[in-house]
This record gives sequence, C-alpha cells and structure tokens, in this order.
Amino acid sequence: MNTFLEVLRFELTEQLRSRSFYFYVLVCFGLSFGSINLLAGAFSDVQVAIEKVNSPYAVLVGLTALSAIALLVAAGIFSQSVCKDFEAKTADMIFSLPIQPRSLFIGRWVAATIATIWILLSLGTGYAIGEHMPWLDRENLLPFNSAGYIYVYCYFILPNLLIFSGFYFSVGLMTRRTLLVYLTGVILFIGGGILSHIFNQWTAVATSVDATGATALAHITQFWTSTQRETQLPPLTIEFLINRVLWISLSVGFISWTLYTFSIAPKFSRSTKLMGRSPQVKDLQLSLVPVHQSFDPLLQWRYVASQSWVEFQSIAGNRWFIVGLLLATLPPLLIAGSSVGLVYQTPLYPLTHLLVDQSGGLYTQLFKLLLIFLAGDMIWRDRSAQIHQLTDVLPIRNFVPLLSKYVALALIILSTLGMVMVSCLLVQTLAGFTQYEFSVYFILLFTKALPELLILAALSFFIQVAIQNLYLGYLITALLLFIVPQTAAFLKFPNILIYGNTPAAPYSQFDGFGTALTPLRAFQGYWSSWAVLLLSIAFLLWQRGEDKTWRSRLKVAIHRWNRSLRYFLIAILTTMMVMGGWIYYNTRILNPIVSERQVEISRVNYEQMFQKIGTAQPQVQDIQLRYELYPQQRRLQATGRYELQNQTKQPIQQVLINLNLDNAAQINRMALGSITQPSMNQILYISPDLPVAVRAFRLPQPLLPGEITTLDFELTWQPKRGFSEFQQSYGLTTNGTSLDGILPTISYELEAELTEPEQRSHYGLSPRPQLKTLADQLQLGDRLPPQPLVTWTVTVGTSKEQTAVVPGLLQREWREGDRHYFEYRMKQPVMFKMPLYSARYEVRRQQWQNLPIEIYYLKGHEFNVNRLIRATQASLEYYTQNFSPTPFGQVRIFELPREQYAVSLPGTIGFAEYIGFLAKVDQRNPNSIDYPSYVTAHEVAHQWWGHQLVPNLRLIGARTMNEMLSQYSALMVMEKLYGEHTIHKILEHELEGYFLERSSTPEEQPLVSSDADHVVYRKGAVAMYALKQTLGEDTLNQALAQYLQEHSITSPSAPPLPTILDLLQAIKDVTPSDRRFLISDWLENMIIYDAQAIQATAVKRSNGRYEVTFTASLQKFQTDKKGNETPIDLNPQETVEIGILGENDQWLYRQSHHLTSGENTIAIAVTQLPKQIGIDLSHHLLNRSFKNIRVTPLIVPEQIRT
Amino acid sequence: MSIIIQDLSKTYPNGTQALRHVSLHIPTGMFGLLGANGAGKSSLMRTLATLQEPDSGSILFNGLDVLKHKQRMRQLLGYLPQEFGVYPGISAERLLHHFAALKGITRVKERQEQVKFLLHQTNLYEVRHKAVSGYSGGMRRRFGIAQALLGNPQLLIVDEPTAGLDPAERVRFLNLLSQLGENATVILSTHIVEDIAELCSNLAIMAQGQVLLTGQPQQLMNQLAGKIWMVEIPRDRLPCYQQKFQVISHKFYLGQLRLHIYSNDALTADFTPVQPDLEDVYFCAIAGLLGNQLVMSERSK
Repeated sequence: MNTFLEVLRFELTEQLRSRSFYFYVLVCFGLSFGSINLLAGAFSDVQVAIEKVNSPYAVLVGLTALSAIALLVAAGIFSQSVCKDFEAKTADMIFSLPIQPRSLFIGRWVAATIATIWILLSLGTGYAIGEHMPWLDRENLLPFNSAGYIYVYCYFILPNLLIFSGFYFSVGLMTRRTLLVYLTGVILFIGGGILSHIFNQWTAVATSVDATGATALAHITQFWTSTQRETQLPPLTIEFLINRVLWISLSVGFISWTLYTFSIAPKFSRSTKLMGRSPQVKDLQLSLVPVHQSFDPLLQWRYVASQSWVEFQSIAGNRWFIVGLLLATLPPLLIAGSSVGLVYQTPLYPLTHLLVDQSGGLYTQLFKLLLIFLAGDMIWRDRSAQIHQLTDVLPIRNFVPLLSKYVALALIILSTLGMVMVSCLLVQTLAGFTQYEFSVYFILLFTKALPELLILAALSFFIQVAIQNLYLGYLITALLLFIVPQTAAFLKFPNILIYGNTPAAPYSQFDGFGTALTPLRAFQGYWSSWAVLLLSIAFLLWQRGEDKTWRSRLKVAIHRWNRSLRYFLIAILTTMMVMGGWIYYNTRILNPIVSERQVEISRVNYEQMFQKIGTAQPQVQDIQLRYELYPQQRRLQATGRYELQNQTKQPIQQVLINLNLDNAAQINRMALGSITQPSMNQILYISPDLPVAVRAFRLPQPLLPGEITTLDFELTWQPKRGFSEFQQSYGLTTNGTSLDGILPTISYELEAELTEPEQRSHYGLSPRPQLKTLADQLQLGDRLPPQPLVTWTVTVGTSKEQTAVVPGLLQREWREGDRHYFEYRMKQPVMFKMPLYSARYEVRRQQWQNLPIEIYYLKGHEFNVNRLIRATQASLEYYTQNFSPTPFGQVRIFELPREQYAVSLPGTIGFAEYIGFLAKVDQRNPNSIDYPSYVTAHEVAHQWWGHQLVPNLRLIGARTMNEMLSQYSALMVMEKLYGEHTIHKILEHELEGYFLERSSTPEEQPLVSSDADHVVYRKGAVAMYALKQTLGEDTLNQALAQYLQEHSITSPSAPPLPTILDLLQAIKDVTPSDRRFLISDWLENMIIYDAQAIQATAVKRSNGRYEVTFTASLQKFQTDKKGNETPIDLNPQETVEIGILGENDQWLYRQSHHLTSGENTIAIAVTQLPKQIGIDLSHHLLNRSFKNIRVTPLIVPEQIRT
Repeated sequence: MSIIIQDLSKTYPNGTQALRHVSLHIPTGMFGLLGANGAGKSSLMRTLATLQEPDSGSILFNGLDVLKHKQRMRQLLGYLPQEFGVYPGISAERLLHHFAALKGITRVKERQEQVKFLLHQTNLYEVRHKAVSGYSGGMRRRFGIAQALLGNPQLLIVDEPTAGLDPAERVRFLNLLSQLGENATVILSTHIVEDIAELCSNLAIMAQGQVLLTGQPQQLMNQLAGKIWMVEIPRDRLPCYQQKFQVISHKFYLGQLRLHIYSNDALTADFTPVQPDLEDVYFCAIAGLLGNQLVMSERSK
C-alpha cells in the first residue's frame, strides 16, 4: 500500500510538472474548442449538418471522435509510465528496493489514468466553453444541455480510456517497447473499424469487434431522423452493453495476466546471445594489423544503401511487425475483396482498380498512422539505444543517417504495398477472375499511392527531427496528417495549400485514366519538391552529438549550409514554383472557379434580364443534326437546325437560347431565322463550375402563334484547356464518350432564380410565389411549360472502330474513309433528351417477338449481357401484356463508363458499367439479388412510364410517377423471374435504403409531393407492391393501363397532362372504400410502423400438431416533415400479415390479422415443425424495425406444459 | 551479519553457465570480489540483490533465507549497480526522496535528514536541485552511492563503485565504505586491485562462474612469498620466456617488457625476487597456481 501511494504521489507530481502534459491539455482544449466553432459556422458559412451542432447527440459524436486524439496521446503517456524503468535503465535500482512490483505498476497505471482523465476532461471543457462563445450565431445552436456531455463521458470516453489504457499498459509491460504500444492502439482503433465495416451485415460481430463502441452507436442510430438526432440520446441496447462489458473485461484481464506473469528478469530475445564466458585472452601480440581506409565521397552513397538495408531489417525483421502487418492486410482484404462494391448484397467482379480502391479506402488511415509511428521510432532509435554516442563519431556525412532512414521507410512502404498487391491478386485468383491488369496495379499502387505516402513520410520525418520529443512529435504529426487536411478541405481550401493532396484518378476499362494522370503528376511534382525541401531542412537540423538547444542547432545548421546545398535548394524551390505556378495557371486562370457570390449575382442578372422574355417561348419541334466526333482528339462538332413553333397564344419577340458551356463548348455560329447576332448575351452560373451561355435573339417581326422559325447553329466541343483540381470531366473521351444536355435549349429556367427569401431581398428582388404544392405550381400555368416533344434526324460520325448512337431508329450506317457514320431518326415526338454515346462496342443481338434487342458492351464485360437480354425479354413480355404495346420498335442498351446510374430514352438505354455490367451475381446465394436484371426491368419500364406517359418534369410529383411506377413494374418482372422470396429480399433492401437515406434528409415529404430519391424509388417500390397486394395484380394493372391509355403521348387525340393527383385518383377509383385509407397512408401522408416479433413458443401436441403462441408488437406513427413521430391508432380495417415458415422455408401459415397497437398475442395451430414466426414477413408495411420481424419459436414438448 | 552462500548455480537461457557451484562465506566487514568480465561477479551480485533467481543453491544472511524472503532482504540491503540510468528531468533531492520513501522511510523528518546527510556525504549537496540526468559520470555514480546508502543497509553491494571518480573522490568514498564496513557487510566488486588490497578483510577471486580462491589478502600474498620473480626483457623475447617459464603477467615499462614469473624454485640472478602483491595473487589464481583446492592441498602436504 505504501509503495502504491508513494508511486502514485510521485508520478502525479511528475505529470503536473511536465510541460508536455500542459501541452496536451492545451491541444485537446484547442481542438474541441476549434471544432465546435468550426461546426457552428464561426469560420465560414458552410452548412455542415442539417441539424443543430450542439444537440446532445452531436456532442456525443463530436467528443467521441475527438477523444481518438486523446487516446493516441494516452498511448504515449502509458507506454512512458510503464516502460520508463526499462528505458531509463533504472530497473536494477528500483527493483532492488523493498517494493511490491505489482503495487508499483498499479500505482503507475492509476497515475497515468488520472493524468489522461484530465486531458480528456479538457476536451469536454473546450467543447462546452466553445459553445458559449458570443460570436456564434445562436440560431444554429440549441440551449446548452449537459446531458450529451455526461452521456459521452460515462459510456464512451471513460470506458474507452479504461479499455485502451489496459491494453497499452499490458503491451508495454510485456514488450517494453513504445512502438508496440502505439501499434496496439492502431490495431484496436483501425482494426476494429475495418473489421466492423467488413462484417457490417452481422450486427453482433460488427458491434463487438470495435473496441471504441462507435460501431455499436452507429447501429443504434443508423435510421434516426434529424429530429431524433436533435432531441434524443441513443438508448443503451444489449449489443452496446455487451461491447462495453466485453472489452473492459478483456482489458482488465489482460492487465491482471501481465501483472501476474511479470518478472523483473531481463528479456532475452533469441537473437541476442549474451557473451557469458569471455574467450580465453591469448597473449596479445601488440603489433597492429595494417588496414587501408578510404574516404572517397562516393562511398557515402554506398553507406546510405547499406545503412538503409540495416534500418529496414530492424523494423521489417521484427516478427511482431510482420505478423501484425500480415494480419492487418491479408484477412480483411480477402474478406472484403469478395464483397467489393456491394449493391443489393451482390458484389462486383474483383476488377483490379476496384480492389485497389477498396484497399485504399480500408487502409489509408492505417498507412498514415504507420508512417507517423515508424518515422518517430526510426529517428529516435539510435538515441534510445544510446548508440548515437558511437555512431555520431563515425566518419559518415550528415545526410547519411537521415537519408538511409527515409529510404528504409520507403522500402517498408513498398513492401507493404507489395503485400496489398499480392492479397488483391490472391482475391482475384480465388474468385476465378483472371483479368489481372498489372499495369493498373503498377500505376495505382506504385506511382500513385507510393509517392503520396512518401510525401507524407517526409513531413513525418521533418516533424520528428525538428521536435525534440518523440511523443510530442507523434501528436503534432497526427494533427497535421489527420485534422488539418480535413479542416482545410472543409473550409474549401484549394489542393495547392493542403499538404500532400492530389486529385483523384478514377480508372475505367473503357478509357483507362482518361486525362487524370496529367494533373496528378503535376501535383505530385509540386508536393515532391515540398517534401524534398522539408527533408533538406531536416538535414540542416539533424542532431549529431549532444547539442540540443535551438541556438546550438541553428549554429550547426548554418555551418552545414554549403554551396552545393544552396544550389540544390535553389533547384528545388525553382521546381516548386514552376509546378505550383503551372498548377495555379491551370486550376485558377485557365479554368477559373467563380465564387458563390458571383454565382448569386449571375442568377440575379439572369432573372432581371430574362424573366420577362421567358414567359412565352417557342417550342422545338424537329431537329436536324450532324455530329462529327473525333474520339482520339476528344473533339466534337455539331451542325444543326431546330424547327421552332410558337405554341403559345401570344406573339414572341425574343427567343431565349441556353447552351451548357461544359467541355469548352464554343458557339461558332448561331442564327435565329436571319438574325445572326444576339441582342443579349450573358453567362449564367448554376453552380461555380457549371456555366451556361444565355442568348436572346430579337426577331425583326414577332413570331405569331402557330408560326414556325428555325435556329441554325454550329458548335464545337473539345478538351478543356488545362485541368481542374477536382474531378476531371470524362464526357468527351477516347473510348466511352457519353454526353448529354449539350445541345441548345429554348426556355427560361425558373430554377435558376434565387429561392431563399433573404437572398432575394438582399438583391432587391421581389419575393417568389411559394410553390409548395402541385396546386400552387399548376396556377403558374404557362410559366411552367412541359418539355417539348420533338422529332429528329441525326447523323453521327465517329472513328472507324467505334459505334456512335443517339436515341432513334437506325436508318443507315456507312463508312467514309476512316470514319464510321450512322443516321438515326426519331419519327414520333418524344421528350427532348438526346444523349450521345460512342465507344468501341461489342454487340449481342436478340429478339422478343420480332422486336430487336441489342446490348452494346465493352469487350471483357460480357458477364451479364445475357442476363440483360433475358430481363429485357421478360420485361417486354410483362409490360406489353399488362400495360400497352411497346411504342418504340427496339430496345438497345449501351454500356457507359465509370458511373453507377442508368438512363432510359425512347428505344435506347444508357447503362453504366457499375450498375449492372460488372455485377457478380451468385445464383446460389439466396441473399444476393440479380440487380442487373432489376435495373434493366426498371429502365425498360420507363419506356412506358416516362416516355409514353410523359408528365411535366417541372411539376411536383412527376418524378414520383415515373419512378414509382417503374419500380413497381420492375418488381413484377423480378417476381416472374425469381419468385416471391426474391421480392421480399429486394423489399428489405429498399426499406433499408429508405430509412438510411431518410436519416440524412432534413425534410421529408409524402410520395405525392416528394422529389427525393429515397422516397420515390425506395418508398415507392414498397408502396406499390403493398398496394398490389391489397388490390390484386390484375386490378392494379388494369387501372394503370387505363390511365396510360388516357394520357399517353401516342394516343391520337391531344392527351391531358398526367399529374400525380389524377393518377392517385385513378388508383383510388379501383380501391374498395374500406381500403382507401391505404392509398392516403402510403401516398398522401407519411406513415411509418414499428412492428417487431417479440417471442414465440410452440407446444408439440401428441397428434403431431404444433400450437404456436406468438407475441408481437405493433405501433403506427404519423410523422411530420421534420421526423417527429406521433403514435396513432390503426385503422379498423387495417390488417397485418402473420406468417409461419417451416423447415424448408415453406409457408405453413400466412394470414392477415386485425391487430391492436402495442403487444398482440396470437395463437395458431400448424401441422409441421415451425422454424420461424414473423409479423409482416412480406414487407407490406413501411416498418422501421424490418430487421426484427421474425423469431425462432421455443419448442416445448407437451408434458412439460401440463 | 554474515552471508553464507551454498552451492549457487545459474545457467542463462542461452546456455551460458554464469555461476557454477559457488560457495562463499562472507563475514561482516568489507569483502572484495575480484575477477574478469564474465567471471560471474555481476551475476552473483544481482542474485544477492534479489534481482535474479539461481537455479540451485541457497543464501543465508544472518540466518535469513534470502531466496525465500526476498522482500525482507530488500529492506536490509543497498545496491549500487554497475550501470544504471535515471529518470530524465528530476533533481537529485527529489529522486532520493522518492527512493527513500520506497525504502520505507515514511517519516518525513527522518527522510529529510537522511537525504541531507547523504547528499553531503557524496558531495552533491550543492547541486541537489539540478536534474540527475544532467550530471557528469562521476556525479551520477555518487548519486548511485547515495541511493544505495539510504536506510543504513545491513548489506551493501557495490559493483564497480569507484569507476569514474577522481582520486580525491575515490579516497572519500573508500573511507565511507570502510566506516560502513564496521557495522555492516559490504561486498565490493571491482577491477581495481588496490581498492581491495587497501580495504577488504576478505576477498574471493572468481573466473568462469567459479570461485577460484578465497582468503584474506595478506595471507594470500604471504603464500606467494619468495615465489614471484621479476625480469625485464626486450619485447620480441616474450614467446621464448613464456615457453620456458611460468609467466604470470607482463607489462610495458619504459620500452621494455617487465615480466612477473612464478617459480617455486630459485631462479638465476637475472631474475629479481619481488614482494608479491594482490595483483600477483590474482594472476596466479587465474593461472591455476593458487586456488582453494591448491591451498587445501598445500596444507595437507
């Protein structure tokens, strides 16, 4: 006890006297203070979160994240406190004292814990004080609430301290090496994070494997709406408590075990052989053996090579390091590699660049941490082994140690990347995928990742050399590598100012890296020169000998500054300025980025100049166009003519023409009728990088209603000069051209106006009419005209090996020289959306009842082509049977590079590679869904819902109609192809998608008035399927078919415009009156349910039947826009399905029941063994507890019951 | 206050036999341990200081079984290791206080007096507020002595204590040690033969884990009386003499080699008989010419 108290007193006094302690406190305080101010908008106007940033939940999340820094610092504190006797060599003195070693270490541990608690408290203090700062806008903040702080400390920060400190301490005591203590922290943090990410679907594993408890927290709150996040704190679920108890026990157990097995005997590593017996000293012949010493300067470079190898071996030869690294890279990659790019539980084929990107995603943090810790360990090795007194005297030049350590670190990074590559190759081989693409591995790993890591390593080295304290060096490097880049990116600093940042270079098998490599190399060159500069300064400051004060180091630095160094630095600085200048030129001058303010001003000008004109504009009726595409030069020319008709009731004096200026579009010629010069010419910025040229042409005589005029134009597009610092544009590329929206449009865009009332009044604009509902919009009448319906004839010329396409029927195809020409014609008027695709396509052709089906794909992407064909056939079959005949005599699907979307045009579908072509569908896995077919069915459905039924896309509800109906159609096709079980799986995914995306939406709308993806796609799918269940497939389809017939653009008489409201009515008309509430619930209101299975028992009777008693809970909620939930009663007509599945997943029982709110107990008898019992197994409810709808019953033999 | 070491053996995990059946009787007073590096001195000292566990054997300190009651032993002992470090940035006074408290001197006043006394004794009082990690080598060793003396130990183990001390400091230190030797057992391990000759009432010579020789310095030197001869020869004649005679040591002296030769019989006039000193005793022991066995057999003759 005495030992314990004395050690505690001593250690605490030392902590309080050490400068680094106060530094840590200050840093933590500063970080949290800065964070809350940053989030609350003290430094910029950027809106970071959709809810208030000081809600208890936000405090919880923020402080947990910040405590990561503190735990990193803690690693240093704990390792120092436990290793100090061994590192300071006081072990012999201390342990010969009459103390209990266990008391000593427990005392040290308690002292370090108390010190760390102080540091952790400074985090909360900084946050709390930061909240109260007078310069913050109180509008963004809630009143101060201590609940979040108490919660996070009780359940996260303090338990995590207990857990991590136990591990740090035990590892430190066992291994007596600081580096390994840090590695423990890294493994607990990062390893836990990676594993929980990989095992995401197995909640129990994912939440248990993360020592920080963050995953458990994420799982509890994953579906929370912003209102919940603003008002609630997460409840303590069983998984969370298990996580805490498990890890605390592990930690305490670990400490106990280490203390129990601790012995003060020195650690003999097998490699160190003690010289026990001195060899017999023979009489010394005292004549000296002559040797030659060479001091050739070139030898210094040989020393660098040999010393690098020594340094490399000292780390890479450490078996813990190798084992740790192998464990960290191989298994996660192997597991993750088989599930890369999961969509609907179906992975993509393990393409090289996907695997490498995934490893990058998994391991970026790990690599950065490795860099930090290895740099420190390597730089301090000689001093901590006390060997510097010998090595500093050797005749080696000053640069040799620094350079060799850097080279050694480079070798370590190289080997690690090599291991990553081997793992990826292994993944590919095991999956039977042999498209290895070694050049891609090489470029991505060794010419992208490697230089980036080396640049960061230089910074790491510099910090460690400059700062005399290992732990402080770790902290500062961690801040520079993690916190600073995030903050700078958040504040929208350009890449040129964020150390080490380079633009992304996404790869596609279509066109490789596109143009992304040039800017990448430019930035790499720029940052490399910075790295060399930092290393040079490190060289000047390199400590050789014992002089530690800054004055002596500066003197030494000045002494080392010689002429060759001066020239060298001049060369470096010149390179830096040249590269930096070139980057600046390309990113700021050639392609200037406008500020938000300029965007606002351009929008104001647009409204002021063009709003009056825009009230009446002619409609495009027909297009004659000739494209000349030169893919190799990435150049496109277009010569075209629009036929415009005044379809309004007023004469039109001025015509408004917009042209998207992307891809360096140039207007060579534009003439309206005979007018060749515009009267008004303006650039409108929709966003900082989306300029639109707006021209108004004044007609000499006004165009009367019904009159026709023409617009002639000649346009060119070519590669943008220079590069931007963000994502490069890939529309015009050497293979896989995909351009849309590049042709002129004739309209006034209401959306370009400023919408915020404060903004409008600031610029002196009158307030806009509120357009919250469809009714409001309909009142605007002509100001919201529908899209024109256009016909066209387009000739496209492309290079000889490529196939080019626009929507329409192919009229003819020919070759001229080394050009390849196609002529397309769209005979019936359709929506004016005319993308242009061109690539070296392979094609597969099939039919469905004489209707040609063609799939155009990239060679090597054949995997799902037949699937797409089959899905198209099944879709055409179902839709023609149930809705209407197919209107556009073909279905052609074209593969597009890089994206994850598909777009449906009349007869033509653009289908990006990641949304179906590269999917690895595993028929044997019941959980994996054939989403290529699902997407195909959806896109083919758009040929009906969107191209026959053509709502005005500017009106609220138009998107809902298109997407909801297409989702429904696609579901029906999938049901025909795969059966009901697959539908349930799909609905589960849609439910998950809905609730997840809803949690990040500030405002929710019902289906009839929403535009949001998660509502129209996800909720729409579940809604329509549920409605189908209620109404019956045939009834619903008939209603839809009828609606289509009345509103289709192919109907001979001018059809009324379809709107969501009259679609709603059409559905209501076929719904029995006692079920009409469902239509309202699903479509007009926002209703969600919470239905869970609680428990079930099944008593086996002597006659072989089972009596099942099942308890489930059910609650219906009405939600408002913000996500506030109000419980409401179930509708008296409402039923919920209760189902019982047998051993082969067959339905033993399936009935709808009238249930009540709250707990319900139901008794059912079945004839076979029940395996699972559930509520709403078929997902007819928008049930947020959709993951907890089933239980396995407890089988009870009859005797026990009586 | 005597130590009885019986049959102590220790083999390290890598096969080195550090101690081989070492038996010693160490009475109160100064006991010197002489031997080459790797002879087993440090292993023995560390075992006595309860830092190491032997494979077999026993140690009794005043009847206390040291190996069984390590904690009790630590209360009675003071240990100055051959090599030690210190915590950075802590003053001598504070560190000494810390050690004193850990040694069980719980009364603050007593502790203060003891620390003050020891700082004066080791001539560190002037610099007591400076960090020990910044001391010169000699000062650091004096600090080590100070901490070993905390608590007035009954057994003091000092390993190479005078290494790094200037002549004046060395004298002071040895005086201090011999004062202590009046009431405690002091085991002094060193290479400096003079220290043992001047101070120790008993000594042992170790080599290769074994005790070669024990006894009192004067007695041992007497045993060699008349058997040590000295001759000066040019350097190149050394192999020749080594073949013909038992050369126990050779030194350079003003350009010539000065040899000490062991011979039971008289030698020619070239050879000068010398008074054997402890160094000669040491070299003879190493050469196997003197030893406990030998001594026994001499007596029995």
